[in-house]
Amino acid sequence: MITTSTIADQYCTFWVAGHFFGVSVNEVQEVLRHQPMTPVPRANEAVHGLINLRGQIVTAVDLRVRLGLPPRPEGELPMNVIVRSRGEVVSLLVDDIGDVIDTHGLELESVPSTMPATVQDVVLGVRPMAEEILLVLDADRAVDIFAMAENTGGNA
Amino acid sequence: MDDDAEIIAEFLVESHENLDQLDRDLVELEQHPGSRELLSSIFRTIHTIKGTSGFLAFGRLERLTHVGETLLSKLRDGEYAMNDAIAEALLRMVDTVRALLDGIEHSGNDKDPAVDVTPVQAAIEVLLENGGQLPGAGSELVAEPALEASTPAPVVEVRGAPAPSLETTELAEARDAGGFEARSARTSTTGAERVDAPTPEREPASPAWDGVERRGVQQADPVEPWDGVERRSVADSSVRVDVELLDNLVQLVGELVLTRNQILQRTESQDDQELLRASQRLDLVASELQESVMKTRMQPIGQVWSKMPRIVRDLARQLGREVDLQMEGHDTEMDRSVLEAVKDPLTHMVRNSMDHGIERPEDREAAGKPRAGTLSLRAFHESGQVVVEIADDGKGIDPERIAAVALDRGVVTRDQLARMETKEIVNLIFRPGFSTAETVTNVSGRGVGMDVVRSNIERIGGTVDLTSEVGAGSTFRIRIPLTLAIIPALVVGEGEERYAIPQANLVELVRIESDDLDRQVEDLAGSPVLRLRGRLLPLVNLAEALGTEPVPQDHLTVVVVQADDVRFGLCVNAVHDTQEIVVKPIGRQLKGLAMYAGATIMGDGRVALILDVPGMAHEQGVGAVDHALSDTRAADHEDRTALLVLEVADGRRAALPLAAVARLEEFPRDRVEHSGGAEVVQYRDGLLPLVRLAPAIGLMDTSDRTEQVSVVVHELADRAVGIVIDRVLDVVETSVVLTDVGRRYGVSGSAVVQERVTDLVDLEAVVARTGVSA
Repeated sequence: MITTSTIADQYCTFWVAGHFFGVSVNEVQEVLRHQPMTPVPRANEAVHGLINLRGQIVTAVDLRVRLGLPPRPEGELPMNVIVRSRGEVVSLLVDDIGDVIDTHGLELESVPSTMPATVQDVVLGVRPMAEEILLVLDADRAVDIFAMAENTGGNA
Repeated sequence: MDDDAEIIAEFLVESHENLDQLDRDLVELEQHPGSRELLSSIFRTIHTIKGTSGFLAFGRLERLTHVGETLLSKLRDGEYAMNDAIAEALLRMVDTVRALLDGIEHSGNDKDPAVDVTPVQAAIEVLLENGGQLPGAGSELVAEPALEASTPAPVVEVRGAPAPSLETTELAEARDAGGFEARSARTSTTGAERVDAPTPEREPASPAWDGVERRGVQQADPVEPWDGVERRSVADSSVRVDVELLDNLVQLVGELVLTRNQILQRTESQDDQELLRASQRLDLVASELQESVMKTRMQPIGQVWSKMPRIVRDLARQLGREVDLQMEGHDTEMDRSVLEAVKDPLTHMVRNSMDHGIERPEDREAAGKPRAGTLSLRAFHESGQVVVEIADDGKGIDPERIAAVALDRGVVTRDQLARMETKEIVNLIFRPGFSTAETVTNVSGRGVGMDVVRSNIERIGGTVDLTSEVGAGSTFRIRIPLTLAIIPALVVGEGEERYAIPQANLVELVRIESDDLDRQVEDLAGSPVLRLRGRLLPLVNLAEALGTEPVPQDHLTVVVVQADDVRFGLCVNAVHDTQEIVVKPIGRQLKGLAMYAGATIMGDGRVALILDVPGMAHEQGVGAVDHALSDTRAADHEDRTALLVLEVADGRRAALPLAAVARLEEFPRDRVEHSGGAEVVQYRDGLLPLVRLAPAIGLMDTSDRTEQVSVVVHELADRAVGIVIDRVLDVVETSVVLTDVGRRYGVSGSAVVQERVTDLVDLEAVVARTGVSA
């Protein structure tokens, strides 16, 4: 597993279906409110659509679908956490944005086996905080929706 | 252009840069005669040029640099001390090297008679023989042996020569004015070959020559007449720009175009005249800017072609072929990205033509052809596209062999093959999994090949087509767009979203009112087809293709699209307008979705997907009926008849004129009822009498074998008749040559349709049998 020293201590945090996630700030380009979205028919179900990010076309991956969590209730608009992954910019759709937190001094612990497999699959580890448990998301894995199709039998 | 053009071009660029450094080093060396560092640097430069010229077989250049190198090595090792004579000799050597390089650049070899290497070489040799000193007293004696031989020097004016020390040597060079003259003249006559001249990399600065104006001969100079205006050398008039910067510019201009579209949309509804005028200016300026920026990215195809002579030569040797390569249209320009995208396919096709097209010399002789095959590459602009042709005069492509291999490899079924025309069969080589190389060579024929070529070309919105004549050769014709970044497209609406269809794929728009829907839209073997000017066009509903619910409409809007040899109608919800769109890539998450070519941003800032017509055709399986339509491009529609080709009596083929076919229907067998001994079905509030085709034309009836009854509905003035057949094979448009063979009751004769003997049904006789029980 990855040691603590290789992971930046600062995390951009957000909530998805009640889970508290964090992505290393190094990987986050920006955070945006809900954006108009163009659906992509016949695409993987985790692809929620395309957004226009100042002229660049960015694929929005719905983390609820990606993580195999229950769908977002009707009428709730997702927020965009724009991450950079392997040379591409991808938007992760989340329920709500949290603060940027510093986890300096906290150990990265392995993921509890009670977590759903689909969540474990994209989480590098957990950092227990005072009030919440921070799930450290692997952005590269999260945006790799084809890995999801293989591992969970998701609809490609 | 000569062989090795690419390597030579690189060599020239590198050498010119090195020589400029050398000039500076030599001048500095005169001030610091003992500098080991400078000497080593000079030695290395000359050594590099020598090495490469030897490799490229530039004998004169090699010999010259060799003596120079020897002299330099003595200096470097401290055997000789720097003196005026050595400095002079070295500078003259550098100038002569430069002149030879110029010659190489213009003519591809170092045999330019205008450049005389002997005096310099002799001077250096004299120095070497005498331990770095001049043997006699006067330096003129040795350093200028050429002086006596050459004509008196004309008056020379040196302008802007890069280094003052060059002046003397310029004079020496210019003395040979006659030779200079001859070279200039040749430069002009061979101008057509200098395809790479506008490219800065290929025309390295040659300040030594460009800086010289010769008053005595200038009027006669056919290339650069002196008109009193400061000339700009290539080095001054062009700038090297980072490709990334250009890409960025294109991106920005794209954004500007989008913003302009937005503004134009808004201002249309405004009354403010000033604003209107300003937006019109913006429109103009943005268009011109876009055009100019796109031009900066244009590169001649010669850049790719310059590699070809080498590839062809190597392959010819490897494959034991003799090939004469002809290239035409070097200067045909296209966008960088397009050029980049066609590079590999072009190379592959050249390899393919060499391997599969051109025969061995002995085979060619046996066939009465010259030993050497001709491979010709041609590029030109045609109606806003670039056309590249790769033609060989080889053995051509034998459709029978292609057919056999295609069958063998399961590329097509026997049934499909039977319905194909020769041209289609030949084009099977573009299908995946096809390779006809009898022996797998490392040149081509590894099973990956022409299908990859085709998909690569189609990916950039191009098409590839093959015509071939057995024994005479084959011609590949590629059509590619000039640019990829900004394309005209038709924007259509489906549901709440908009989709862009590239103009390149667009054929026409058809609107069918509800009254005509029944008549014009048929169901052929389970798929809807549109009867369009006597031809059947497969229809694809965009909503269904997208997996969404179609919006019910009282009319049908059909966008007729074409991708390569597939033409089909796309039924859309709404047609918006045509506009220039900026093609933007879509993310990795959407790879594998063949139906999208990318995305673009609309005037309102929303993202719209660009439909990939070939991809859609493939995903929707439209290809299955394509051969029915492949003839649509044929010019001679007049004497052609559209035929509905049927299967009757277990594999026998029969055909009806398509014009006589009102509809095609399928009924469950249990719907066939009997009325007075004749078979009928209830059809459209009435009874449709049936007649079985097979017995009516004297064949065994096998139509019972299927669960469904296939019926061709034929309408007469007052009634309709259903003709029972086994199944519909195809719709073809062909010129029918009727023969009396097979003529009998119900059959007016036979004709060869799609290379198969087909009975032409005498409808009148068949209809007359209506009511006769089977």
